[in-house]
Amino acid sequence: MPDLLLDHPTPNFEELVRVLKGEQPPRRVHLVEVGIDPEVLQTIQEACLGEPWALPRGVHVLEKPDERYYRQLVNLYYRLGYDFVPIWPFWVNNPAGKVRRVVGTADESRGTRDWVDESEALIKSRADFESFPWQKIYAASETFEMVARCLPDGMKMTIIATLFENVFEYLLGYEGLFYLMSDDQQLVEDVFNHWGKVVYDYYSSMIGLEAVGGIFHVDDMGFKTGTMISPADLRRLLFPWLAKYAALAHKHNKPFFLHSCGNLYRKSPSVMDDLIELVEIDAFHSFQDVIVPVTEVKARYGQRVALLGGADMDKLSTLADADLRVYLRGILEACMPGGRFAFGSGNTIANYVPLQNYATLLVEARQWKV
Amino acid sequence: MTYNLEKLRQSVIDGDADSALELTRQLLAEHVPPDVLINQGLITAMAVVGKLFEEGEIFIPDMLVAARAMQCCLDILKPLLSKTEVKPLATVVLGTVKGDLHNIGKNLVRMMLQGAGFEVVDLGTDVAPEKFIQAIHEHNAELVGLSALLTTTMTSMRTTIEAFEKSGLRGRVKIMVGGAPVTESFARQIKADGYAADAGAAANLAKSLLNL
Repeated sequence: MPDLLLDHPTPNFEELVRVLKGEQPPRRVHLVEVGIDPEVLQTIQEACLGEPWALPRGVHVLEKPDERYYRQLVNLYYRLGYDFVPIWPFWVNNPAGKVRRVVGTADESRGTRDWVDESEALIKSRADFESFPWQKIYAASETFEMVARCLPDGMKMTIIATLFENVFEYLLGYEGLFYLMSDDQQLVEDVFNHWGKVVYDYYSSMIGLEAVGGIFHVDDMGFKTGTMISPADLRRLLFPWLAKYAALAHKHNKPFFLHSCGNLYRKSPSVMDDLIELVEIDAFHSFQDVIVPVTEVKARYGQRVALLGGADMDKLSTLADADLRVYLRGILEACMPGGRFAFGSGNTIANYVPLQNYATLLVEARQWKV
Repeated sequence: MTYNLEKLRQSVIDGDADSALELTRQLLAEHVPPDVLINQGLITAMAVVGKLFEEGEIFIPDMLVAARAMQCCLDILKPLLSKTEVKPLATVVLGTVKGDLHNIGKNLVRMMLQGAGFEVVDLGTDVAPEKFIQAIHEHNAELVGLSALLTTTMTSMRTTIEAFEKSGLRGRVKIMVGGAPVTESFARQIKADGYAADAGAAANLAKSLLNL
């Protein structure tokens, strides 16, 4: 088991924000993850700290907010060297989408993997929409209160939600959304606006908490060669809400980070241009080398927006140690100058990322001389 | 003989199934042969759809409704085909590899292959190598398409191809691969015959691999 944990971490979320805004040159490499797989956290917790994980193995979703779990989660992010811990809401009265579970095939997988059933949807008709409990859904505040009690000095939480992803994964389903874009545009618009409002209300109710450092919104918009719906439809359905969330964070003098997978760089102006100019994101997360490597995004957009993460998942999962170090140093060499960058995986520390490779990423960041 | 199929093609490209269906019926009534409607109408239209998708001019919803419009027309044309002895370009066995439940990308490839005139045997998701092998034998397939979403599941592509080699099938079928983490170099590493970046490219690749 590699040695992953710091004995004396010094989180400083405010400094991270100043670095990302370009107000202060980095004094060290700040680390960022929007997610670390529960299996990975559990393995680190039990192997490095010798304390049983709060959740049973294989259980990734809480049945209710659980302070012991949050204490472990916060402590791990703290000891791993992060300035903030990303916290998902615990939605109350939110009908569950359908998922299927299969045994993981990855060498490093420690169990099963959940998959969204792409052909299923909670809303298939106007009648489904009308009977959906929009007014009853809310994020449990205990989650954030519990996390706030666990945070050490200098560390914050970022609050997370999805809009587009929730629409295509659960509310309308992939196929439902794609067909309804043609068959019933009004229903699509209404679903976006109703869930957009649920998310806005949640962000509004939590952003004022001192322990909340900012919003880290997560919405995968694309795939390898493009966006799932047209940029024009993204501008019409999604970006007005993202802009509202960003404005809300900014009103509280807090940053708005955005995670989105996919190719957002085609054509000009690109979707990335829109995110910077129309939505006014402060930092962008998610990079895949097969689309555009973070080093190239830094060169093209680094003056206009901060970048988070960057290490390609395929490389992080498969490269041998020496090659991985060369690759990671290449990112740091290209992205650290000028600041406005924090380092981490291009997506998440998934359960198939070898722990040794994750340790290499942490060590390279910790040892980098600014 | 030449026929004016432009309106039919445009209806499919626009994803207007009602219009495409009406035009198909009208053209049949005017004695346009069904194979001409398929080859010069529907397949040509779907080739345009694939090209527009590859160029980033249209998006997944547009591709899906175009494929749906084509399928509506095929539903009334296919029963007529036996009379004119039109055969598909080739049979393709398609599936998402073992351990992976990703469906959408593979479904789009299926639609574009069908749109290009291939017969597609879609094995679904989480498909074990032996199931691919069985389907290749059963349907006398000339091409196999393997899809995967994740870095972890794309390794199943390698084991699937190795299983083809062990079963003596490798020389008999062409193999194309695709999916979010898959690259041209990975395709070469695992000894696939070709890689397609998206569904639009997949149909062209299939034709090129089979010299069609």
